[in-house]
Amino acid sequence: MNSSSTKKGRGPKARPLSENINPGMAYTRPGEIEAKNLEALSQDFQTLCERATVKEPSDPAYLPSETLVFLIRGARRRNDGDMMSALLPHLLKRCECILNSKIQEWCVPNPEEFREEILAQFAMLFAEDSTSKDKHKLDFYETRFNLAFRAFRIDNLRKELKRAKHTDQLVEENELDEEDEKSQQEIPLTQATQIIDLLQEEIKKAIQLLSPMERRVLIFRFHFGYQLESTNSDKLTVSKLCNISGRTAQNHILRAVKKLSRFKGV
Amino acid sequence: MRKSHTARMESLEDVLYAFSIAKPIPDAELLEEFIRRYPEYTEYLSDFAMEIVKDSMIAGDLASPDAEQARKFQFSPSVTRAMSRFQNALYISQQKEKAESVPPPNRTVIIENPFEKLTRQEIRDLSTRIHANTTLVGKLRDRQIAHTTFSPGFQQLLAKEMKAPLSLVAAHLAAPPQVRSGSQFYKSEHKPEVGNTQTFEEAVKSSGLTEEQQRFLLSL
Repeated sequence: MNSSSTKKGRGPKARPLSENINPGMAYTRPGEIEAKNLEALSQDFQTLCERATVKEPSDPAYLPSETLVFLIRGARRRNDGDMMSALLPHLLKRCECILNSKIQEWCVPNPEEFREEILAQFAMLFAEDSTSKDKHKLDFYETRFNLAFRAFRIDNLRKELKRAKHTDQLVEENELDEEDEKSQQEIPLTQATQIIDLLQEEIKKAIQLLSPMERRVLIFRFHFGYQLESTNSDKLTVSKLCNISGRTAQNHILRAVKKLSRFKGV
Repeated sequence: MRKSHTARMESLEDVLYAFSIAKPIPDAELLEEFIRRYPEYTEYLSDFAMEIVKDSMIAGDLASPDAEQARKFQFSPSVTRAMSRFQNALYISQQKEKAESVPPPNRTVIIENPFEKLTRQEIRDLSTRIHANTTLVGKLRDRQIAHTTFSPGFQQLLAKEMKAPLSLVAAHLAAPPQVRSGSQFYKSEHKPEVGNTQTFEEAVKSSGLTEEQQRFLLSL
């Protein structure tokens, strides 16, 4: 047994998380996570290594990702290289699974490279944790890991798409002018709303067939429920959020609905 | 204690994280709340909100990674490479932390040179009293002798004859070598530099002292 095998997963027990910027919400770990953290603190290195390999969330030995973050951060603060090297790969493996299912060919030009870069960038957060460069970013991950990782992933995706200079939007704007009249005659907007309601599940599958702007307009109109446009300039509308005219927004919806209708065979 | 939200600027990243964990899927109420609080990030927030909704429509459970998929392979090359980059970044970060925790040299205390206030005559007198000559005293003044090679007896004699506290004399001798500056001229095109220090024995033997003086000084 080497010296590290007797180590405990100890970290500062009452290490508080940073202040929340959401009004009325503290960045506190959920009760069940606190309980898992406390349990992990009393266990030795070997036990924690074994528990980190458990993949099934329903297994009582399963360590939630929030707890893995908690333990790795504790190890980082103590400069406990053995603990970091033992636990971080398991957390990265979980992240890799999420990335594999979420970042697909149609999302970015080089999905494989992009997934790898995100994974490495995420690992770097632990190297920078507790330094003058960053003291609290990982607090989010100790609270709600999957939602925090989603933010990280989407923020990086957004930056990547900007870098890749996706020009779908501009191309589409030009194409729309030619088809405006025809589209409007084929499906009235009220009917489009009814079709959207009928196709909730199919939308999820078909959403990837839509262009970025069609998706954007559709989501703001039908998920968030914003009006296409308004005479009240203070009001948030699809037109305002997408930086296009109400008429263009409507045309995007009609085109999207046409695609979705074909998908369903309506 | 919560600070006032208006009293500080949140980073975009912090705002996006907060937005993401506020609700599994954002709705208009949440989006408007954040846009109202962070109008400077309106465009980012609306993009981000739209991406979250789109993300929720893509196959793959948000609640937990696919356990089945996780079981299929051991650590992939991607994980291994991510770990490698982590280790490199950690090493750099730890080196920085170490460097920040060590006080920079030469910035601390300026050691007083007790020889500075002595006149030429006083230096000659001092040389006589310690059974040495002005060459050796010059080396002592300019800290050209490695301080670890002085005998305690010599340091006590020097302090006594200089009428200075032993701690001051010892601190002076232990300070980094010094080149006297001031109004002196030098023929070289370059400023004089601090040379290698000598041991006390080497300094005694290379200062033109008599055999008897050398014996006395090295016996202290």
